[in-house]
Order: sequence, then structure tokens, then C-alpha cells
Amino acid sequence: MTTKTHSQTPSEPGLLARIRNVSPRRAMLYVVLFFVGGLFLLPLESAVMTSFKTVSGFAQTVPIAPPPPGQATLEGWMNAWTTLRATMLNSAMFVIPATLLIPVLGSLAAFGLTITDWRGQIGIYVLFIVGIFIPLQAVLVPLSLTWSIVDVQTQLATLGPVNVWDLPLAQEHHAQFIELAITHIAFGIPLSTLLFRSHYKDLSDEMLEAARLDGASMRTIYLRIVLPLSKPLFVVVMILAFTTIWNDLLFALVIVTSPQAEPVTVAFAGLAGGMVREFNVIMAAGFITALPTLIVYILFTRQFAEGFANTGV
Amino acid sequence: MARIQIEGLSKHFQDGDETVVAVEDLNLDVEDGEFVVFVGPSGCGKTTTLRCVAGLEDPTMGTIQIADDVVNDEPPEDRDIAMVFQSYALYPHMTVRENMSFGLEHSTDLTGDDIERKIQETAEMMGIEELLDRVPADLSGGQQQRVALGRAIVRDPKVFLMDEPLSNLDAKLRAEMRTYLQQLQEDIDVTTVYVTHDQTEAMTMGDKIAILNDGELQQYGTPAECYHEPENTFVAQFLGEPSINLVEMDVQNGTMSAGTFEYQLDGRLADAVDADSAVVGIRPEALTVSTGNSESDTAFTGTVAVVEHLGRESNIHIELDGIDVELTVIVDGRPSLSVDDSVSVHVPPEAMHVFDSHTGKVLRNASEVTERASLDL
Repeated sequence: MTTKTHSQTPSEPGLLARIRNVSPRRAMLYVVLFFVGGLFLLPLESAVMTSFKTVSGFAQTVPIAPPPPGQATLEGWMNAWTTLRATMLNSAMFVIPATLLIPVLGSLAAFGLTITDWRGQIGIYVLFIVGIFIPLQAVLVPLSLTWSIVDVQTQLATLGPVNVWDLPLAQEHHAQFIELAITHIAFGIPLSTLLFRSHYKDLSDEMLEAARLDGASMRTIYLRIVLPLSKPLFVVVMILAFTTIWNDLLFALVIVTSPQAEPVTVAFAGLAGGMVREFNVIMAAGFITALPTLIVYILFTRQFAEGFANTGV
Repeated sequence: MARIQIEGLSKHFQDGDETVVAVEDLNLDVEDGEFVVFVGPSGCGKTTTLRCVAGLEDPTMGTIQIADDVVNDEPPEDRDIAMVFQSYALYPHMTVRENMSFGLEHSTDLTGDDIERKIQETAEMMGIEELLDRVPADLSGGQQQRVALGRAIVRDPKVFLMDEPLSNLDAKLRAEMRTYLQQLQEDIDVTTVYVTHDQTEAMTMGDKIAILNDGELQQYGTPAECYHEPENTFVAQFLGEPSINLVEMDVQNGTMSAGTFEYQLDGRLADAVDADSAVVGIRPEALTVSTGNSESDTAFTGTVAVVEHLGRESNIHIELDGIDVELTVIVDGRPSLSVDDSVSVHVPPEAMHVFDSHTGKVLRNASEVTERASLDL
């Protein structure tokens, strides 16, 4: 009966008919794709399952199995959240300023290196490019030395008429957020500049000349013409900066000395490397740590794709 | 409102170890309210000259004065110039209204209301009122062109500069815009310098045209002057479509000859042609063609090679006997000749431009008063 109706309306084949029309080759392709996809998702699935199991539930079952009856719990998530809550805030304290400043500075630098014309431009630009290729491991020792010489905490305390750390809400370990933010900004600028520069090189020279003849100063050209035209790239650079800096462990380990200033990655590493391994807590903590970057990606998927299409990277 | 004086302008570019001369010792005056067209083949320096006037390039030598002020050291934003670019160069993220107000906001002290009023006026004049709230990406090429013009006009600048503004339009629209631009320039009466490689645009639009080649000014004058009294073979060849026929001739004992053609030089010309050769230029429309042999000395014989029927007229290409030259002749209406016909081409002696065969400089121009011109008078 169904086949009959389908043959009468061939333009709207039902799901069954559509499946029947799939060639064996295609069917095999789908089977393989589903298998590979499943394989990739397996660790993630195990992590989710583990995060909801009790310790004994974890011991009794294979990681991919759902929690056995009576062994399901939210305890892992609760514990992880309690441990990480404060450190999430710590991360935000330097990740957000750095994320905002990296595209601003990168775009300004790229503007100066592309749209204006002065001697020695290329030399300076080469320095920026070199910055991209510096291996982070190589700078760890100089970095920690630098921040021990430039003691931000003491500097700020003696800077003005009042001790900054006496101000309400200011705490001495906040100095380390400043150090982290500056470090990340410094290492984020080269790539950001490179991306903005390739975008600015593609801007029409005639359009910028038209703006000059219209009486616009360099500042106006940047604010009214170049900046509005680089919005999509701002999103790209901000997302890249946010995820790299949020996920960074290396700089945090080197720079952060006060436990109160620990960012979330350091705290998570501590959890995962502890003597007693509570796998449900570790898994839940992993998700909590990754959550902000996931949210950022999901919120800005479209702009991200557009921006990348624009840069031609 | 403003006169432009260019004195001894040179612009050299450094290309690796080589110095490229874009413009060499250019002297030119554009009178107030005049429409001057810079024309020449690509790479002749016309755009570079324009960009020097705009301030987008620094001259290597020489001075540029606008309204009697030397502007060499003034940045483009202070020169009170509006420029229309080949690519239109509209700001893609702004609406048409914002595109037009941008310059007014930054180069004048007008208030928001005044700016809006000026934009409305200009938009009406240009017929783009309906487009004011659209962005450039939603406009057709012709509309973008109008907006680009409107953006320049609304500023009410001292000088308009236009860099091949019509070259991105299709042929029909280009012809329309050509007429429109001419009328517009007459109405608003602003000194305008217009750059093009298209000799039709130059001939039809300019009060004066400046013909450039290899960075050097070849001739500067009204289109009629340049067409009828070319100063050298380059100008003669560059203006006119199909282009002028140039024939290299031997000069012996006061007689110029090439193939079957012979011409006894008269007094003044005999003094001027002292070499043993000269180049004779004859416009295709000045030649007459007939079948069979001609009695006249000042005629070539040859064979029809190609016949191009254009409707109102036809171009006939004729391969000459005895010399390796092809002449183009314009005949009215439908041609009665066909390929391989033997013909003779009569050259009226008064229609001959005679040029020095080494320097290309003119020795004698054709007499201007042709029959048609005298009818007009």
C-alpha cells in the first residue's frame, strides 16, 4: 500500500523510499561515517557518563556505560563547581581584559603598518612576525625573571599618593592578574596584527584616499572607515584570544605564585593530578573549565565563519 | 573658483635600482571653471599628474598651485578638492546619505540641518533621492557612479578631479553619463580635471585637452585645435577614430613622393622640409577613393583589403601599390567597393599634415577651412 502511494507521488518520497533509494556504496559510506563519528565522540560520552557516577559506580562499570542503578549522582559536579568557582572568576579577571585589548592593539598596529606610510615599516612588521614564532617554552624563565624584577604589586602600592591595595575590593594577589593580562596581550598582539594587516591590505586604496580628500584625518579614517569594516575580524581575533588565554596553563603556572590568584586551568590541573583521583569530579571539572570557551564558540559561530571568510586565512 | 597652475612638475618612482619617470617637466594652466581632460595611453603619467594635484603623490620636482596658493606641502585633506575614482571608492558600510555627509562633516563646519539640506539638494540634482538610505552594495554600477559624483559635488570644492570615472560603465551608459557630466560641469562651473584614456571622452567633454605620452605633455589646447592642428605625429595618431594615415615619403628636388604619389612642395614647405624624407598625415575622412586610375599626381593606387560597413559610413582599408602602407578611407553610406577592387585614392594637397620624419614635429598642418566648416560659418 505504501509503495503504491509512493509510486503515485514520486516527487515526495517518504523516508522509507528514500532509504531504499540509497545505493550500496552510499550506504557503506554512511555506516563508516557513523562509526568514525561515534569513535570520536566516545571519549566525550565516557566523560559525561563518568561525571554522573559515584566512585564505586565508576569502579564497577566500563567508562562508556551509563551509571548503574543507585550509583548515579550529581556529587561530582557539585564538588567540581565548589572547587573551581573562585578560580573561574580569577581566570575571567585577566582573560576578559586581554581578550578586549588584543584586537584593539592588533588592529591599531596593523593600521599603522599598512595604511600609513613611513620608513622602516617593514622592519617593524618583521619583528611582529618573529613574535608569532617564538616558542613559549623558551620565554618561561625570562618571563618569570621579568615579573620578579618588575614587581607589579609593590610598584602599584608605591605609585600614587594612596596604596592601591588599600582601596576597597583591591587585593594584593590581583597584581598577578595584571601580570598575566600583560603577558597574554604581549603574546597575542603578533598574530592579531598579522590577521588585521592582511585584512587592511585588502581594503581599497582608493576608498581610503577618498576619505583623505573628504577631509578626514588619520584618526577619523581609523574610527569611521577602517574600524567599522573590521568588525567581523574583531570577533575572530577575540574568539581566538579568548580560547587560547582561557585554556593557557603554562604562563599561569610560571607567573601565578599566590594560590588565591590561581586561574581555573591551574586548579583543574591540580584536581586531575591529585593523589586520590575522584574521576567523576575530574570529568565534571573538565566540562566546567571548558564551558566558557564552548559558550563563546556557540554564540559566535556565524560571525566566526564570516570573519574567517573575510581574512582569507 | 580656482585656477590650477602646474609648473615644471616631475614625478619619479623608485623601482628597485631603476628610476621610473612618470611625469617629466610638465607645465600646464587650468583656468578657473575650465574642464580639462588629460588623455593618453596607459602609463603616460596622466593619473600620476592628477594624483599630484590631489596631494596623493608628492612631486619630485616642480610646483602645483591651486587658487594661486602653492599646495605642494599641503596634505590632501586640506586642499579642498573632491575626487571621483574609477572604482567609485564609496564607503561600503555607509548608506548613500552617510557617504555624502562624511566629507561635509569633516571638511566644513556645517550643522546637521545644513548638511541634510545640501544632501537633499544634490541628491535631487543627481536623481538619487530614492537611493539615500541604501548601501552601495545594493546599487547598480550606474547608480554607484552617480553617488560617487554626488559625494564629490555635495562638498562644493574648489576643484574636481576625476580619474577615469566612466570606464567601468557599459557603452550606452557611458555615452549618457558623458553628456550628463558635461552639462553638470557647466551648471556648477567648478574647475575640473578629468583623466581618461578614451579619446572620444576627451574630444567630446573637454574645454581643453592635454595629451600626454611617456610622461611628457604633447599638446595642450581645445579638442578642435588638437585634432586639426596636431603638433606631432603622436597627437595626430592618438586623436581620431579610425586614426590618421601616416605615410613616409621621400623628398628629392622639392618633390615628395611615395609609390604613385607625387607632390611638388610649395614655397614655405620647401624651406621647412630640408631632410630627404618627411611623414605625411592625412585624415581618413579627407581622402576620396575612386575605381580605376586617377589622372592626378597626388593620388595613390592600390587594392581594397578590408571593407568595414558601419551604417552611416564605411571604413575602407586599401593596400597601396609599390609601398608597404595601408590607408584607411572613410566613405559615406553603403560602400560600392568590394575586396580586391583596384582603386585610386586622391589626396587633396591642402588636407596634408607634414611632419618631420625624425622628430615627428609638425612642419605644416592641413588647412583648416574645409568645405563643411565653411558651410557652418
